[in-house]
Amino acid sequence: MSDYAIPDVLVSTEWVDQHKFDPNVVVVEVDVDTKAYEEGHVPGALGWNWQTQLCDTLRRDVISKQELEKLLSESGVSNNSTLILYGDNNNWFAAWAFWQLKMYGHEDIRIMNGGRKKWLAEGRVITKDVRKPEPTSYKAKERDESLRSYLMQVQQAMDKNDTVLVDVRSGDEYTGKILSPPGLPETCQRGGHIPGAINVPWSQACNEDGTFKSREELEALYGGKGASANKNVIAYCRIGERSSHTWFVLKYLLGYPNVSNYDGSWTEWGNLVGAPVEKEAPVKSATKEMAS
Amino acid sequence: MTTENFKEEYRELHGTKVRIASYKIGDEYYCHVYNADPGATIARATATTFEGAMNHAIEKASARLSGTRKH
Repeated sequence: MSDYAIPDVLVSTEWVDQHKFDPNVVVVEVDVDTKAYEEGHVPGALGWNWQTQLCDTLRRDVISKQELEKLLSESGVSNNSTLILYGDNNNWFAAWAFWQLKMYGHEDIRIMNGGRKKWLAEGRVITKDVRKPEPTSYKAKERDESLRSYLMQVQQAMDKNDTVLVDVRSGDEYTGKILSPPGLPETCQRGGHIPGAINVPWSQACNEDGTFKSREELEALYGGKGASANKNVIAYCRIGERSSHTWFVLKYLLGYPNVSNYDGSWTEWGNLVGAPVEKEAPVKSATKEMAS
Repeated sequence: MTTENFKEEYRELHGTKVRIASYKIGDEYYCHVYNADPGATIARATATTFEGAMNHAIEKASARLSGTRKH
């Protein structure tokens, strides 16, 4: 893991096994499947529910500063804690939590490389016991909005040569063949993608065992399609969680300086009256060279 | 406790590639069916036998996938 731009953001399953009960370490599981934690989890790990605890449940937004402080305080996280996140499906929603926590300024967050799948596959000890942490008084920083893109910024980016939009959904979602991932409810009125966006499905960043691909492989994957370090990169998907995974890869594993997550994503754009939609791959080239 | 017999396989259900994960924890067998991309859980089942968990999960996944529209 040492060849990544910021290697400290990843820890191995072995490291977590050795440090999971360290006093300054808090391990949290965040799954796509919110029932997975109950089957068994890393001993000492807490479980956060992305549908109820990592978003604003009234209006569509990320978690508020107040609610984040409450969640972290109740979870026994202090401002100097080393927070280890992991989850199912290549750490999909662990990355979603990571993105939000970075927006609120938590310094030491790391992702367990390989996530829940690797832990289970390695036959490491799990438990159904839920730890009762000692509450803290966590104080979050003001939200760093530079890690996020809003609709207006994306609309403006369409006309900029220095910006690349990366659609990280599946090829069938990108071309509008399906309106949502198979088996999930359709949540948009139109299918396709934002004009000019390139398509790099998020999971291509991972190996079959759930770990991240090497830096060299990741550079070839994204750079080969025009999402390079000298561009402003905006990642999006359907609701902003897959793209938080790609945001993590580009910002921390490849060290891109200007990456943001458009969490409004396709459920915003694909429902927007009058928004331009493209179904084919960009015509001019893989790199976005739209007329400005 | 630990996870035993963890394994994954890919299949096609209703024209959709799915990933099926199965394992045993304690006395129970677990089976999860995910869409291959992005990997969201479509169905899960728990049973006292491997076959029971697998069959039930696939049955539930098939029902959900049958509603996916192609445009």
